[in-house]
Amino acid sequence: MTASASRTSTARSGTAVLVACCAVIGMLLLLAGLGMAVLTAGSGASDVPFRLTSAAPAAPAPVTPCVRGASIDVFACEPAVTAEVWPENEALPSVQRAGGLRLSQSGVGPLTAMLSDAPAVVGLLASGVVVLLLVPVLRSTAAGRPFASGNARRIAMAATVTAGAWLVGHLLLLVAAARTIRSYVDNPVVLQAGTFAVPEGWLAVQPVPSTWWPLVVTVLLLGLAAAFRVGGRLADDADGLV
Amino acid sequence: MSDSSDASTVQVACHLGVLLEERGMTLVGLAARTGVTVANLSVLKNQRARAVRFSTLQAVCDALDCQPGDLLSIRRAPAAQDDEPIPA
Repeated sequence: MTASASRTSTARSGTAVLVACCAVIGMLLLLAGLGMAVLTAGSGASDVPFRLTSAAPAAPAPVTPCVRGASIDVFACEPAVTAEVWPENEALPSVQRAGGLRLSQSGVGPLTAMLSDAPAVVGLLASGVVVLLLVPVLRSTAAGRPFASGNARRIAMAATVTAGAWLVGHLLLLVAAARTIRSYVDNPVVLQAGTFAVPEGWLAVQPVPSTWWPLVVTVLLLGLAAAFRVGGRLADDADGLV
Repeated sequence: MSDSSDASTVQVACHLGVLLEERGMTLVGLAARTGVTVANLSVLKNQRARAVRFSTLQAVCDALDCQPGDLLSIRRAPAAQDDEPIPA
């Protein structure tokens, strides 16, 4: 075998291994998504984002530094400073906690528990589907035919799957949040002063998604699909050209 | 190699096979002389080419010492006429 034929053979073997690895990764992502759905359903616990409504008489949460020897709550507060650095139980002025609120509730049932992890589960499943959709694109590109028939359509489908998974994951999370809040409100809590039920209307679902990067990926994939569509037309024009 | 835009069927015929046989040359030998791949020369020889670059045409004609008219020709097959009288 000549040196160039040997190099070509090696390149083909490497490409075949890469394509096979991508196919395996896609299948593993699908299995991981299904496995995660089963595990979260079995946990019976839900952890969802929510927001406090205007009816909730909640004060902005201050930030109180940890001081050695003082106890802000029943849990140990570390890392801590000495009282010479900052007085105990004094909040930092003009500083408030920002960001989303999360509600953790146990005993919500398998469906609610699974739905609360919907973004991650749907994300894993969609990632597997996208990888498997793009394996033929990778194979044809490695074979020197990047604009083979169907590649633009596959990339566009990958974009659709990405956007659809983001939307479905967020919608399912909203359903989980509504069910979790319902469970929270329906189960009174036992406090030192007595048993209290959190009033209806204090907690509401957070409609704004917390992550937006899948939409960026969608736009990039759609741009790539458009480029591959134009490339496919150019390749068709050059088909049979010697 | 055909163009279906005309009412009659216009075909560009390639006589590469005939020219190679007359000169006792193979496709591999012609590929070595012209720098065109054997695959492309095979496409040309077997009437599967849809377009030919001038550079390819020039290289093949130089190697075979011929003119483009020796390599390519037009065949025109008229379409069937519906109003032709049926022979008795």
